[in-house]
Amino acid sequence: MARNAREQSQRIALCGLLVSLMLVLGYIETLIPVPTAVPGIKLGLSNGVLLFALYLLDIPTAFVLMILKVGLSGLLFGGVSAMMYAFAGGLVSMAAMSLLSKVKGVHPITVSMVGGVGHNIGQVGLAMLMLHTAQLMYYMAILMLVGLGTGAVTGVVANSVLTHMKKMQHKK
Amino acid sequence: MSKKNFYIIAATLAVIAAVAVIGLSTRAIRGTTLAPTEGDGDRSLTVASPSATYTVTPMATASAAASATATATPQQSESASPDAGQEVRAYLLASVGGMLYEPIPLVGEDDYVITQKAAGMENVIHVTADSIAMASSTCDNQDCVKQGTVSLDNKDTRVLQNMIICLPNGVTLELLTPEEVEELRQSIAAEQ
Repeated sequence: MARNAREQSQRIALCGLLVSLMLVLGYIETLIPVPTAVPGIKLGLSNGVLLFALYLLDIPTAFVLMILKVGLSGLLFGGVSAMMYAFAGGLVSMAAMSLLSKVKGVHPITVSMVGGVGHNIGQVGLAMLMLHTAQLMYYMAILMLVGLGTGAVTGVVANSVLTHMKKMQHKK
Repeated sequence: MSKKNFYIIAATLAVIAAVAVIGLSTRAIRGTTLAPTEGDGDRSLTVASPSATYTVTPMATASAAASATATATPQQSESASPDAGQEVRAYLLASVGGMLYEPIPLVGEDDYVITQKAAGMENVIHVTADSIAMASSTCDNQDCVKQGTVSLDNKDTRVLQNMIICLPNGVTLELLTPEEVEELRQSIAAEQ
C-alpha cells in the first residue's frame, strides 16, 4: 500500500514535470523563426513529450496531459481561438497516435509522424468548418507534409529519450 | 524495423497527395453560407475607407436570389459604386463570420476597414487596383498581417493561394478576377 502511494505520487510529479516541459517547449517554439509564407508552421516539440507519455505512462494520462498543455498555453500565450485550434489538432493527433502506438511493430517515430499529420488535419479541418470553406484543402496538404517532417524530428528526439528511459527502468 | 512502418508512411504520403490533388481541383468550391432571409439589414457589412463607404450586403439569399434574377444587376449592392468608366481588374471578396459578402471592385489604392462592432474587432485591408493585403488587425496572432500581399501576379503560387485569413476575427479575404466573380455568381445561382 505504501509502495502504491509512493508510485502514485511519483506519477503525479512526473505528469506535472511533463506539462511544464511542454509549456516551456511551446514558448521556446515561438522564439524560433518560421517561414512566414506558410502560416501556421511550427515544430510541435510538445508532441514528443506526448509520445513519451503515451509509451511510458498510458493513453488516458497522455490525453489529460494534452488537454492541460493546450488549456494552459492558451491562457498563457495564445488566446481563446488559438486554444480551440490547438485542441482540435491535439485531439486528432492524440487519437491517431494512441491507436497506432497499440499496433505491434510500429516504431515510435512512425507514430510521431502520423501524429504530426493528424495535428494539422485537426487544425485546418476546424478552420475549414469555422470559415465554411473547402478552399483550404491545398494548404492542408502542405501543412500535412510539414507535419510529417516535424513529426519525424520530434519522433527521433522522443525515441532516443524513450530507449534511454527504458534502460533506466530495467536497471532499477 | 517492421515493414508496417513503411506502409504507414507510404499510406500517409498517399493521403497527403490525395488531399493536395483534391485541394487543387476544388479551388472554386466554397461552402457558400448565405444569409438567412430575415434581418438582412442588420447583416450588411460596412466597409469604410477614407474615400468612400461601401455598404456591402451578403451574397444572394434565398429570397434575394429570386429578385436578383428579376433585376439581374450584379453590382446592385454597392451603394457607392466606383467610376463606371474604369475597367475593374480585380475584386475583393470578403467573408466575415462565415458569411460571404458581395465582391467589392478594386479601383485604386485605398484602405478598407471591416469593423465587427459587437465583438470589438477591426481589420484594415490595404488594396490597390490589383492587390489586397491585411494592413492591420485586432487579432492576437497577427497571422493575417504576416500573410502578406495577394496580387493578380502571385495569387496562383502562394500557399494560401488567393486568400488572406484572419482566424481569430473570422475574416477571410480573397482576390478574384472578374471571370472568377462571374463563376462564383453562377455557382451560387445554381445552388438556389
